Amino acid sequence: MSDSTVRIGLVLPDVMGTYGDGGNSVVLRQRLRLRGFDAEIVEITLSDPVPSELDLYTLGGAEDYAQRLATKHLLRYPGLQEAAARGAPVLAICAAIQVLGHWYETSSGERVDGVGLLDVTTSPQPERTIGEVVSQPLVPGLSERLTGFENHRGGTVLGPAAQPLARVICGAGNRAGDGIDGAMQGSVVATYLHGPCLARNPELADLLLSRVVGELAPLEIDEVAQLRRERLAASRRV
Amino acid sequence: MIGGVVAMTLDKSILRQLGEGRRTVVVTGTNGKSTTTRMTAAALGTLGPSEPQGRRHQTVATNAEGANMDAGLVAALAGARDAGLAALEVDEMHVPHVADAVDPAVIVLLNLSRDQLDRVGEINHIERTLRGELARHPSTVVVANCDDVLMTSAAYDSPHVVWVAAGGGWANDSVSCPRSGEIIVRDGSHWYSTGTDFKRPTPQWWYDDANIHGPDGLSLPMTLALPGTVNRGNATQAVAAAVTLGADPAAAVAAVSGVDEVAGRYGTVQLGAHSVRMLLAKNPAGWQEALSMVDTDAGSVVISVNGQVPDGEDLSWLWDVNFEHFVHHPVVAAGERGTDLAVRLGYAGVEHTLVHNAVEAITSCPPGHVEVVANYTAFLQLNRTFGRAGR
Repeated sequence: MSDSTVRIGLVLPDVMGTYGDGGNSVVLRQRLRLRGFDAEIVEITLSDPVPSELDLYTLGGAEDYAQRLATKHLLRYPGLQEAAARGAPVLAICAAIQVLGHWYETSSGERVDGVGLLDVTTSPQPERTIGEVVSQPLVPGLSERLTGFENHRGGTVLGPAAQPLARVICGAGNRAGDGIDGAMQGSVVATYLHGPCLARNPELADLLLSRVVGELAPLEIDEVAQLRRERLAASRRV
Repeated sequence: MIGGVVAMTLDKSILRQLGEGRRTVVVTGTNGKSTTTRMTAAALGTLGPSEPQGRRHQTVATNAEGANMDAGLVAALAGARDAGLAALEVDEMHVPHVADAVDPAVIVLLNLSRDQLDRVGEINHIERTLRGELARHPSTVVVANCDDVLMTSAAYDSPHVVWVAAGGGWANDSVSCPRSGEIIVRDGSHWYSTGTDFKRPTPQWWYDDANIHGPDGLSLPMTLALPGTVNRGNATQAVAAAVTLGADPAAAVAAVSGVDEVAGRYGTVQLGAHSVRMLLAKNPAGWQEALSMVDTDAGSVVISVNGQVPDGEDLSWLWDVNFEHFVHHPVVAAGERGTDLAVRLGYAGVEHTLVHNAVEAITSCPPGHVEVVANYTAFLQLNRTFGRAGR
């Protein structure tokens, strides 16, 4: 491995990967490799301290117990917090928003302290919000609509230090009725579009990558464009 | 909504009436339900009165086509009113009211892993529901897979458990202990919780590449017609269930070994210049198993994926499955959600083409053998096509 290799931290896939969230690290790596960069995925499990020197990090969704194990581990080994403090991009999916917030309340009503990277708090909604989501990003540098699938019980509310990632066009997002999805704060980008969110949203993938390697050459993948068309059309039918 | 409640109440009383006077085996779990039910029915068929020719055979009511919710169960039981035995495949979420209705003699617990999450909720909830249901049936014998942490937890407090080491290749969903929330530590085939007194029980039944092993030093050769290690685990649980109800072990093993097709799966059919073998996969664990059964040396590979309600409309799981497996073998991506699969294959570095229509995908392959892996509705669509073609 040379110094120029971009190292992507896949954080706790053994507990935080309920919906194929590991796919985001694969998309990031391949979009670098297809442009001639060296890139590799570093899996960080519950048996490893969290390293602080990686170039970017992805975290996925989890169920109650697993989410608590992950939170405990991240607080015990604060490598992710150190990396975020120096500006390394962090992509937080679904339950990871809750883990990175101040606190979240479990379905049994217990409040669990989070990592504190995001000015958000989460409490259970009356019903799970499940289904296709389409949203309009509110991030400079993103113009294409975001498309994905959400499945969560937790409803997340943003404090003043966190900005929403997108305005929801279809679906629920952070909390049913609020009309916004995700959060941005410092180098952290969070969204309830779960699973391989970056597979459907290459512009978001490239935004994260450009914060590591600088401006990127365009990369058009026909099948990705076709998938976006299909999923956006399917959401209109709902 | 009211209609649904009425129908459910009605179904429950019908199920109760139809279940009365039979000894019923309920088979549930995420993967292997249909195969294990088919094998259990075959093994139970060896029980019962001797026939004039000296062969022992008894009719067994069973939902052979995998219709595992109320309507399918009612049809299966009503279609065999005189059968004293029943082997019923039951959807995990339907086990509580079905078990309350038919009061099963045996419940077989196979495995629990992430299924279509947008449809049935999360697996820890299912485990707790099964656990609560078993507590209401203390006299039922539970035949449980002790390699599966969640199913072990469901069965752990039951007074009559037959533990079977049926295998558990998909450990991703059970890193945390369902009883304490702490970590599950794995040490070879053994596992234990770090949070409470909860560990892998010693199995009474297990298998290896050649034999099946049971209580009291029982050991019998077992050669299955079906492929894959996972089916040896299914067979071992089916034999254990049948022996629990009095079947002769050697006869039960012979019966499960003869099962060579399960609702159109595993069989090879001819489609013009192509011989087609069909494998069904419904979720990450099932896909991982099915991909390991694909014989890439035998010919071409078509993978067909739909995203209808029975499949789960969320296809995120495509990214949990190790499609990198095919990095040296081209794949034809097919199905209504073939584009999702094509994108996954592309990022996995797998050479592929995209032909949405599964039949056209097969005919796009060079003449000869084609291995097809499909999820639920994609599989049914293809099976119907083959049916029309006069298989």
